[in-house]
Amino acid sequence: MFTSVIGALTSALPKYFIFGAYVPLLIFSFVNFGLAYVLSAAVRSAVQSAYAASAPLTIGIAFVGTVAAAYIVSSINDFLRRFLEGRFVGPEAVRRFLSDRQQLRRAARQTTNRKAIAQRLAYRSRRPGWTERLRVAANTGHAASPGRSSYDPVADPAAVALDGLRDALNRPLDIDAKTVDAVVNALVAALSVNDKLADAVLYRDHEQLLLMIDTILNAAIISENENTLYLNTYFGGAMPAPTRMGNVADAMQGYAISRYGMDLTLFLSRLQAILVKNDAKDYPIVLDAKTQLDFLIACTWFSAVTTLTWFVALIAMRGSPGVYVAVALAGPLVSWWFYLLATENYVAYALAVRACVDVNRFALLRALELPLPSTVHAELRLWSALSHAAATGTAIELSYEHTPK
Amino acid sequence: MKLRTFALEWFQVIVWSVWAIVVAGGLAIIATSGEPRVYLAAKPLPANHRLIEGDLAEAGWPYRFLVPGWRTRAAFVGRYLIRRIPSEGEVIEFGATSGAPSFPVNRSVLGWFSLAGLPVADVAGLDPGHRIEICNLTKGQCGDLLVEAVVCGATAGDCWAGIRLSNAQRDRLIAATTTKSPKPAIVVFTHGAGKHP
Repeated sequence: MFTSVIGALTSALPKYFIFGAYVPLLIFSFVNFGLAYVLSAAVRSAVQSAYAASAPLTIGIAFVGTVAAAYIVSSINDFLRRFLEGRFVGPEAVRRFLSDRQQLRRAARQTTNRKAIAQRLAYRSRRPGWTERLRVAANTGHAASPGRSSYDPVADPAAVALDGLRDALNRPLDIDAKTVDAVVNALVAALSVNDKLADAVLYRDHEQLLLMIDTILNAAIISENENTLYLNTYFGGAMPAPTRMGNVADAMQGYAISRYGMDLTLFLSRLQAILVKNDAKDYPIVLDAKTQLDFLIACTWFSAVTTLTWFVALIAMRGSPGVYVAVALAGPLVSWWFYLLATENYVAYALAVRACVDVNRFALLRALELPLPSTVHAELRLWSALSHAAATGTAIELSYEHTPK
Repeated sequence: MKLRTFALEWFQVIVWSVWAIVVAGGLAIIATSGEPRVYLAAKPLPANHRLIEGDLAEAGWPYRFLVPGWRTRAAFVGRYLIRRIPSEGEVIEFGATSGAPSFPVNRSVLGWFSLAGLPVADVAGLDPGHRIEICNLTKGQCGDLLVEAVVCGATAGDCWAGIRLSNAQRDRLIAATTTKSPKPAIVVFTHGAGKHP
């Protein structure tokens, strides 16, 4: 029944309307109606009498009502999204407080990132020295004591230091270069008086230390990459937005500005027009990501409104304590969960938009009958000038490059 | 400044704590002034019957979860049914019970004995199913009889015990009075059957 209704609607109405507005509305209408029907005798009797009077009319009214409500939701979805982005946070003090909270999140990532960068630089600069000292010590030991070794694999200071390093390896970013320096010094001392070729354990310890240094260096590089990617994906402008979602939106915006000088708020709609006109293959990916984002944003709002409505209603009607507790506990968690999902989906949408900008920005310039820039810096200058002109209406001197029709 | 730093670092904990307090407040409102819980009748019950524990059967989940109210079984015990419950499993709503029934149960079945003058605690402790001792002072005879129902009037202490009597017993009784007694709910009559108000 539900599948056939959705199928019929999909053929008659756009897919993004069905899944971005109608389906979430239908889900939450069902939940709210179900609760009202079970909890309120008045609702039960009204529905039963309406259904008894004319079942087709009742179903028809419900259907038209949900479609009309979904249309309203669809038309305000951008507003709802911008609200979650924190664009309408009123008092400046509240906005600043929330932004500072986001800054705390960012600062934590930045601290980890700085640590990883420092680690990478320290290890990359010292690694050749460590390797060389160990190699020289091994040669010295081989020359001084050929075929002999008194290396104690348990009590030797090098073995003890290596054991400590092995234990610390599950948190590689916490191992500073001085610690490794000490281990290298201990092993250099052991290698310079023993022949490692005559001692399998000493040989293994030498190889393992080199491997551990590489592991720590790689962990620093991976951490740096992860944190940089996270900061570029989840945070945009210099001043953080008041909400997580706002920062993801800023990151999307910041990408086009920092790479190309393009202001997406001005050129995204123009880019969409070009994509539709050219029947670009990547446009459906953007549209699908946007539809999923709209779906989750609608779910976030519906769950929040449902929670608040029933929270107040159950107190006002002195309703069931069981239902009240369930709504009061599950409602905010579900809303928060939908919000986090929507934020993650926003990242996917932003990545799709970024890809679209990367691939289609020259098509937009061609459509605007403007010459294509020959260098990266020329492109930055061009888009910056265009963005400024589009935003302020200032006339700029640019030569058109008309293509014959 | 310190307060601001604290609020920034513990923001989520603060928000959830405030929410928990609001939820607890709402729960208190519901709990203290909520509509009564409903119970199911464990057996058919007559109108004006005073409810005892055994008359009530709690509704199963999810009905029990969904119905409003906070009152427990104890709120129903000792109250009187305004309407007859014709069959087992029917819902007894709190609104369908009363502390002061306005009419008696079937007179043809029961003989009524006023409990006025007995200690209030004794009357409160008397439930259908209890046995009370009835004595005929004229003849000096006493009998241990089953209480079928207890009904009360609007004024405190205006309670009556309904006791099943044979026709022979009924004919011999002309009137009944009560007296204070060291034992709970001892009804002493002198002569004749009582009349319910």
